[in-house]
This record gives sequence, C-alpha cells and structure tokens, in this order.
Amino acid sequence: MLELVRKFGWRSISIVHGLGGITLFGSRLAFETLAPPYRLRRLIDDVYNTGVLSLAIVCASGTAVGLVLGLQGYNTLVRFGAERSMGAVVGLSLVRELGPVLTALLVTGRAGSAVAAEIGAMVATEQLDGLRMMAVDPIDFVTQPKAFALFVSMPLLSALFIVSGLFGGYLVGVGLLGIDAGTYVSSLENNIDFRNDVLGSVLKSVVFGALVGLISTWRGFTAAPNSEGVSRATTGAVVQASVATLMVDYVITALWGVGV
Amino acid sequence: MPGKMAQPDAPRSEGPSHGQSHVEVVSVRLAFGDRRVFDGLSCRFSHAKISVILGASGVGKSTLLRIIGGLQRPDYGDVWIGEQEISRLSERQMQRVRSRLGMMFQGGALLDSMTVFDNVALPLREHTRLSKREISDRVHAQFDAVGLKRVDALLPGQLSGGMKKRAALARAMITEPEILLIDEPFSGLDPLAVRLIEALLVEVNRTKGLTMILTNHHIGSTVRMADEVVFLIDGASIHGSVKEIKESIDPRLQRFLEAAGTGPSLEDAS
Repeated sequence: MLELVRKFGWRSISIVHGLGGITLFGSRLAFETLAPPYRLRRLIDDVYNTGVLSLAIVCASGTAVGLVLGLQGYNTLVRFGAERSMGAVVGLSLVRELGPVLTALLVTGRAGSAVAAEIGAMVATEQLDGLRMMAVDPIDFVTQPKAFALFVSMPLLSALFIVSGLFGGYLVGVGLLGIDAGTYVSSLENNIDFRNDVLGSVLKSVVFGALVGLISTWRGFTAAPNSEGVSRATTGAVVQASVATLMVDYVITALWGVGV
Repeated sequence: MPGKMAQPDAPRSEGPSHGQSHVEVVSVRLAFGDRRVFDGLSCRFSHAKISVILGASGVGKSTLLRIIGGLQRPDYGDVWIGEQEISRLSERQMQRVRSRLGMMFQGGALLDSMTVFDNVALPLREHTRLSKREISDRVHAQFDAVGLKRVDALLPGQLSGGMKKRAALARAMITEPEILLIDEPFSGLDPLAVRLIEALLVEVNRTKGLTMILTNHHIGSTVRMADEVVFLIDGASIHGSVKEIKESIDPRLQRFLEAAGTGPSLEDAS
C-alpha cells in the first residue's frame, strides 16, 4: 500500500515537473521568437521542411476526405430531399472541424515526429551541448525556428486541406452525382460565415500549430541521450500532440462554436 | 614523489588555491540517482599546460569535463575558471564564461545539417561582426592549422573519424579560447591518426599557450603529451606529473597501469 502511494506521489510530482518544464520552455520559445536575432534563413529552411514537404500529404488527404464527405453527405441528404445543401455540409464539416483537426494530426505525424527525432538525435550526439559550449543558445538556434515554422505552417496547410476537400466534394457532387455546379457553390457561399466559421477555423489551426510546435520540440529537447530516448521522444511527441489537439479542439469548439 | 590524494571532506575554497592553476575543482560531489560519481573530488589544472584526466571507463572523466564546461552542475562544491566560480551561474552568465572556453567532444558534435565550413564559422558568425571575407579567411587558416583540406562543402557525415576530430578541434579553437576541453580525442582512431592528432594538440598548446584538459584512456599518448595527469578513482583523484604518477605507490593506480599493459615500465609507452 505504502509503495503504491509512493509511486503515485512520484508520478504526480513528475507530471507537475513536466508541466512546469514545458511551460517554461514555451515561454522561452515565445521570448526567443520576439527577441533578436531573427534567424530568417533557418526559419525558411524549417518552413520548407515542415510545411512545404507536408503539402502533398495534406492535399491528397484533403481531397480524399472531401470525396468521402461528398458521398456520405449525399447519401444522408438525399433521404431528406436536401441534396442541394451538399456544398454546405461538405464546407461546414471541413472548415469548422475536419480541416484544422486532420491537418494537425497529419502534420504531427509527418513533421512533428521528424522535428522531435531530429532534436532528440542532436541531444544524443551532443550537438546541443556543442552549441552551448560555443555560447550559442540551442533553444534560440535550433528549437525556436522549428517550433515557429510549425506554428506558421499549420494555418496555411489547414487552408489547403480545406480547399482540397472542397474540390473533392465538388468532384463527387458535381462530377459523379450530377448536382448542379452553381447549386454546390452557392450552398457553400451562403452557409459559411466568415467570423464564426472561417475565423474559428483559423483560430483552431493557429492554436494547433503552437501546440504541435511546442510539444514536438519539447519532447526532442528533453530526450534521453541515447537511441531509446530518441525513439521515446518521437513516439511521445506524436501521441501527446495528437491527444492535446483533440482535447483542445473540444475546448475551442465549446467556447467558440456552439450556439453561434 | 607520489601524487597527492584529494580529501573528500576538504573545506570549500574561497578561491583558487594554487597560483598557477587555471581551472580548479574543489570538493565536488555529484550523484546520478543512487550512483555516486564524485565524492569530494578536488583537482586543479595548470595554466598553459596539457593536463590529462585518466581513469577507467565510467569513472567520470567526461563528466568532470562537462562540469568544468558548465554542462553539468555538481551537487556540491566549487569550480573555478581563473578567478571566477562557475558552479552556480545561470545559463546566461555561463554563456559569457564559455566564450573563454572551447570544447572538442568525443564524437565531434558537429551540426550534421551544416557543412564543415559553416560548423567552424558558426561561433564567428554568432559572436563577432567580422565580414564574410574575414570569416572565410579565419576558417581556412584554422583548417590549415589542423591539416584539413577541401572540406568546406562536405557535411560532417562525409568525413572520416580523424577528419571529424580535426574539424571539431578547428571549431573549438576558432574563437581562440583560453582553455580547451577535449573529450577522448583518440577514441576510434588508428595508431597513425592518434600520433597525428597528438602532435597537433601538442603544437597548438606550445604555439598558442592554451590550457588543455583532455580525457583519455590511452596510456601511451598520455605519457607522450601530458604535462600533468589527474587520475580519477573511487570518486576522488590522484594528481601529479607523469613522473609522479609513474612512481606512485598507490595500489589502485598501479593496478590500472598494469591492466593497461604499461604498469612497470611507462617509459616503454613513450
């Protein structure tokens, strides 16, 4: 019994310690983002690695999701004779929910894991210590550009996911099921509200970008300096960022989206 | 004269106790969980000399180097770099101290996403206002000093072990530090490469007057190049010149030297 209490105590302390650590780390990232020197070259490289290289997977996934939404939406709507609203169903699903959430999950798997693994490998091979010994702050030099790259890439990738999804829905609705193109587009236009839907979507993707950037870099930065540590950091980054994304999605939806 | 054994319970120092010492570690204790690495370790490293930290694997040689570099904080005790005690400095204060230090890591620790040129130029780009031309000139001068040729555009992964060590040494020296910390410079190198790196380090020490602190378990090279030796054992140290270490009657030191195959006749190694 005493052993159980002891283990629970240690676990609790370690969770609080971890939360404190990631909060301080996040503050440092925010500070380094605002304070000079601005490492534009490194940021561009990292935006390329995390954002541009994720384009294909995001666009392909968005199109696939749009195709499925088109088919499923049509099958449901046709029962109520409301197939003319297909543009709205596909659009609202993508803009309000699926776009930001699925993009965050895809980017976590594609880029977040790579960031955690890269930083973890730098820890294991003493590259971060090498920077410290050159009086170069590794948070400023390595982690901040990567976290910020994920932060700025996420809304753009989410927008592309949504556009690809709308195109997929259009292909199914107009090309396959014979819905009038004007009807699809006007249903989309008339039912998507800029403030409530589009801004809410942007807010979500911005928050998810910050979360994925923070968790991925933190897990890499605190990886144990061995191959198992790198592996744990990579897995941990994907799991924690994905779970955090889904939980925060609920909070934002509850605060922003419901009842509007 | 046998080497002097540091006392685990020695009083904390108010400053470097030895006029000639450049780096001094005083009564340092450190444990990782249940494993005690140092229990009152005290040792000093003289100005402009080559000091070799010797000892068995896992005894804490690299950890001692990391403590001196401020990468690892001791649980207790003082670490002096010149007149400055560094063990309780913040990371930001430590950055200023590190501008006086250079460190060559065992695996090189070169940034593998950057070319060799960019790796060596990095400290200059970060801490000086030198022009591109001046940086290029200084990097190439450093390449010449360590015997590297046509490596500018290569990535660290494309270098051999010996070349990687040279590149790491070039990076460690590019800002002309007062103290050079070198972790296992000869590990994984063939005997010829060992001799080349050894000669290079001695030349750098003699020409630039750097204080060099090396970890090493290679007895032969230690004897050839060391001005003084710090032998780590049981969380404490025995220090002295090569001659003093050689003549030490401490049975633990004798056992180590005998196990290394050079016990009774260190002269052979030289």
